[in-house]
Amino acid sequence: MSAPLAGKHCLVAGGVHQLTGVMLKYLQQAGAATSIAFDPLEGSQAIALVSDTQVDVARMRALDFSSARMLQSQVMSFEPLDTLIWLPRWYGLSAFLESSSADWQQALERNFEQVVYTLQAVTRLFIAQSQGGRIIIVSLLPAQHPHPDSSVLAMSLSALQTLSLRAAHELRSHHITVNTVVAGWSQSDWSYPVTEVFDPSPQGLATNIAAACAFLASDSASHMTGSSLTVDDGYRLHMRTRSTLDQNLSKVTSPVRA
Amino acid sequence: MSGFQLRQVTLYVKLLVLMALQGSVILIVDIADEAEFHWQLADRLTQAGADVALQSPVNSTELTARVKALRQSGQRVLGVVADPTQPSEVLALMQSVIKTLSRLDTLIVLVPDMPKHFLALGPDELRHWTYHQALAAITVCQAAARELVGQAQPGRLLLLSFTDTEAAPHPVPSSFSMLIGSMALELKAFGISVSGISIARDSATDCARAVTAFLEADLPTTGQYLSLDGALFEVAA
Repeated sequence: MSAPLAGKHCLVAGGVHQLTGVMLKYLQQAGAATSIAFDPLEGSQAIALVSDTQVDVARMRALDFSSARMLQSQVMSFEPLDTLIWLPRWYGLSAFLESSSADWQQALERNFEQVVYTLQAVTRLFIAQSQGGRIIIVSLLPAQHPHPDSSVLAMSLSALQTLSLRAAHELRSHHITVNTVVAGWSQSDWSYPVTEVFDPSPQGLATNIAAACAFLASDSASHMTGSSLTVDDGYRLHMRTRSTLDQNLSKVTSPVRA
Repeated sequence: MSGFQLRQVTLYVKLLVLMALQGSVILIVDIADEAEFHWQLADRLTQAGADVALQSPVNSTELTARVKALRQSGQRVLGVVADPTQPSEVLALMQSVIKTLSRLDTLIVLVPDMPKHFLALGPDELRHWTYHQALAAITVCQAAARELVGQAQPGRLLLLSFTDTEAAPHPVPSSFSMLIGSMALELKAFGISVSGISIARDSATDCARAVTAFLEADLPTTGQYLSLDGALFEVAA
């Protein structure tokens, strides 16, 4: 593989799961120096992931995503950064009528509120560095296309997507791009819960998601902002047929928790 | 068709439209703090023949006065004090509507769309929108959906999101559009339709008229998110 990200420093932040490991490895193979940022409660998972993946991470950082002020202070102490890639931290499925207040609270906290704080903190770092930057948000198909049992996920991720479009518009003058990679099912098997994009992540699909992020982090995407790349083997086209919808409605069973 | 026949047909269609909401029970919950729109919409709905329940976060003389004024239409009107951010009060609100008006047919929730700025968005404003407004709207929709399912009859959820047109020079999808789509998919089996309408803050009177027309038209639509523009005014004409 060529090194389109040579000389760049990419921070992978948010959720710690199999896709995180694939992402770190791919970015490194593309020439980037990588760091990982995670919630302190997921520290042992992060350490295990880095060890299992055998990826050479420049920095491992436990960040307080819940406090805008603390996060800003932590981020401003970072060494020069080029790209932030955010991976979802909450990805459960449950019927709307059965979803609990706790689910909604947690999803909105982890997939929206805390992400906004992180994006703002990194944006201010980029502005202070005066050399632009890339923000890449990994999302899931229900954020863009309605799907049964995904109202909690859909609301939290689509709220983030709405805000990211506003951020893309607002940050153009600072040469900071904001783009989204939307992950869906792979063609090999459309029957598993969409949240298994993250863990266990079908290898081919995970690599494609990482490749999409690497592209958006590269100089080849320097004029792309406010865009969305979907990695789903065309599922969103297929799902519009009535038979597929009925099949999916019948397959939804128990909730999957992050 | 002669002029006389055309007038007869027009009158018949108008009567059919007027009857569409007759006896319908509609609950309006205002999370967007759009009091003027709230009252104007309630007024139009009672004029269209609906019985209306109005939620207010505080018990005020204004609520009492407005309810009294709305009752002049001859329809049943109920005013209920409830904090939509509190699940227990939302449940009590639903129970109050059922106890007084016997059932619920349509829930209308007024909620503000997401703040327009990014970097200047402070934690307090962000948290207020997320947990006191968006989450409250979800809680109310869920409680109403459960009630409609329990009634085992068709119903409607209508989410009205308010936006400032001047602050949003570029169109972005509403943050509620996917929620509406997901709810619509799941609740279709229960005969419950879910729709959203985006409303510009500076046109309350026209928007109240158009929302009423939308309900009266009783279109077989669900999962759609509409932007209020001139097209809906033609339905109300």
